[in-house]
Amino acid sequence: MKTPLSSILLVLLSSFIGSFGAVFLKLGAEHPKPGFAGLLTNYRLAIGVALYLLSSVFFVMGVAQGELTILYPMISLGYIWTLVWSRIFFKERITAFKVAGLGLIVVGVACINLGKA
Amino acid sequence: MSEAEFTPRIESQGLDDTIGGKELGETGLGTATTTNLAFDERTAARKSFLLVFLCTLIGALGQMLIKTGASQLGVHVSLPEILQKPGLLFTYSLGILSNPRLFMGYVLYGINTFLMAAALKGRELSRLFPVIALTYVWVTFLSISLLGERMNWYRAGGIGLIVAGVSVLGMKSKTEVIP
Repeated sequence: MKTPLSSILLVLLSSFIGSFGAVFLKLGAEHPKPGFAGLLTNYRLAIGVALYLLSSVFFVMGVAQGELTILYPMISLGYIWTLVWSRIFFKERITAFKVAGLGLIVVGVACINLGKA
Repeated sequence: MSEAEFTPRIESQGLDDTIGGKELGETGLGTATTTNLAFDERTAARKSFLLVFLCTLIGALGQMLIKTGASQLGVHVSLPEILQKPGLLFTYSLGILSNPRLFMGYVLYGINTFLMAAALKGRELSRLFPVIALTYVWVTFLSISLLGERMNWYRAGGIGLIVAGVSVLGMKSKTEVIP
């Protein structure tokens, strides 16, 4: 079984959309409303969940073809976007640990793709 | 809430700390007096460790259902087609819902999200990142044993690097500890 480029692109798109989902879940958690009803009427959370569902649709389209050993680890590249958004939207600091961790992840994903053949 | 004053509060700076930042007293385990606080803390830590570990197994199982369901469903649409007719995305979503494996995969994913939120609430995230990263290992094992995918040194090494990377990502730097 080969892993087509279209599958790789779809999974990357999925993780990109998913990283925005995380931003909205975090925004929702920062503006909590009381009770279970508050959870359901929290529109930031709703947007976050909707973005996660959208990203999952692209993920399903992506893994419909190709190998999961190649495609699943690509989700971890979403951490790159998460790092950028947390800097921009939440003013979180980019530490040496975060940069080193991302470096290892990128090398890891590249390594897996070298083993594609 | 009194025990929270005795516990040095550390700002959670992990990438995934949306549900972090709550105090121990709100986990439901912090009702005891300060004398057995250390014991409570250890029990709570072990509990969330096991719960997160369980989550990685559920997550990997869900992934198998999603992969095999997606293969059954197939790809009827391409990305350029979706950009022209976004309605195709909705049609595809209905296809996802009507496939039993995909449906079960989504259910497991939902259960996973709730369990994970419960496990991480009020916990120190940095120590749990390496556990969360285990999902990559389980998915790879299951892809080989259940889906008949091949393994080679590049892939094994790559997974190792990703697990290490996610673990390092969650580490706290000393400058971030707020006294």
